Amino acid sequence: MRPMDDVWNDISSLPSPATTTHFQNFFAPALRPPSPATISFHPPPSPTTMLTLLTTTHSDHQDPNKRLKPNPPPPPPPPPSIFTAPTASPPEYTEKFRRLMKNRESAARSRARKQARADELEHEVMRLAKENAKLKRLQKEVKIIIFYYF
Amino acid sequence: MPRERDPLVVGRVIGDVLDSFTRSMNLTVSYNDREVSNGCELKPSQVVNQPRVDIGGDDLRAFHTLVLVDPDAPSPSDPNLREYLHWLVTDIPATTGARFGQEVVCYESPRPSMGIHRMVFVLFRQLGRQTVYAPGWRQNFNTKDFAELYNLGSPVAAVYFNCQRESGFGGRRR
Repeated sequence: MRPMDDVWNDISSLPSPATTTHFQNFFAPALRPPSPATISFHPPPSPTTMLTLLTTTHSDHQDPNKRLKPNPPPPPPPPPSIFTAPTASPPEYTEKFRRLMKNRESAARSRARKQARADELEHEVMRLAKENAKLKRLQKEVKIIIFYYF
Repeated sequence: MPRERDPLVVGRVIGDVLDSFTRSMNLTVSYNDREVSNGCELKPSQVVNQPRVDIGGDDLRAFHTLVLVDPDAPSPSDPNLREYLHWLVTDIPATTGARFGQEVVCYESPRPSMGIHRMVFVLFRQLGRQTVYAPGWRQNFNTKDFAELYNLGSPVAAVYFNCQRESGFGGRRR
């Protein structure tokens, strides 16, 4: 299993121009039909969408834990209210989730260690049992030879 | 019917350090007359000095290379120094031991500070006597690449033990 940090690095290595272009494309349909004089890549968005855009990009700089997904941009975060959970939208990037994943990995390693040790001991036991049987057989044969000749 | 799995696979040594291989030689590693078996636990104080390593085979003209690596450096949850090279001995003749070979990278005793580390011994058969150059540094060594570079092929034997900090901060609470 890849450590969490690998996943983080993959996500954070997204170049920012791509994400801003993505946002531009998101709003592109609103352009059609473009006015001949001005081909604007930044059409004046409606007040609500503008607010959304600002909120998302602003939170980008604020919180290094939150990263934009490479796929379709996430829906705008719900307006803050007393009913929303204290930890905001993408649950995957919260500190709590990180700790959970780390703990799971640690537990998995622990189980693997335990199982590997048990398997090794099983092999050892089988090997020693075989050797023991062989030695006992040899001992019998030696006894017979001694008895026969003396 | 007991479930039999290869401890090297279950312990992820095959996976993290090596690819699957067939054991074809005996490799016996002992620290202070205590033989290392896969997955056994040894304390740093027990592995301060280099172990006695005996290898099998029957032809004194066959030479072998031994490496000891830590794939869990500096910590198994974030092994960014994987693999840390602790020991590298070459030109070991079959039927003899590591003390008959050429120590290219001297033994550095394991001193894990965080977590439980696997310490893996890997034995390769050389095509002939060869000059092996020590890497510039011990961290981020890659056993597979090393084997490819020197035409060592697949390992002929491997064994690993677990090691964690003796006491104090960073080790496992008991």
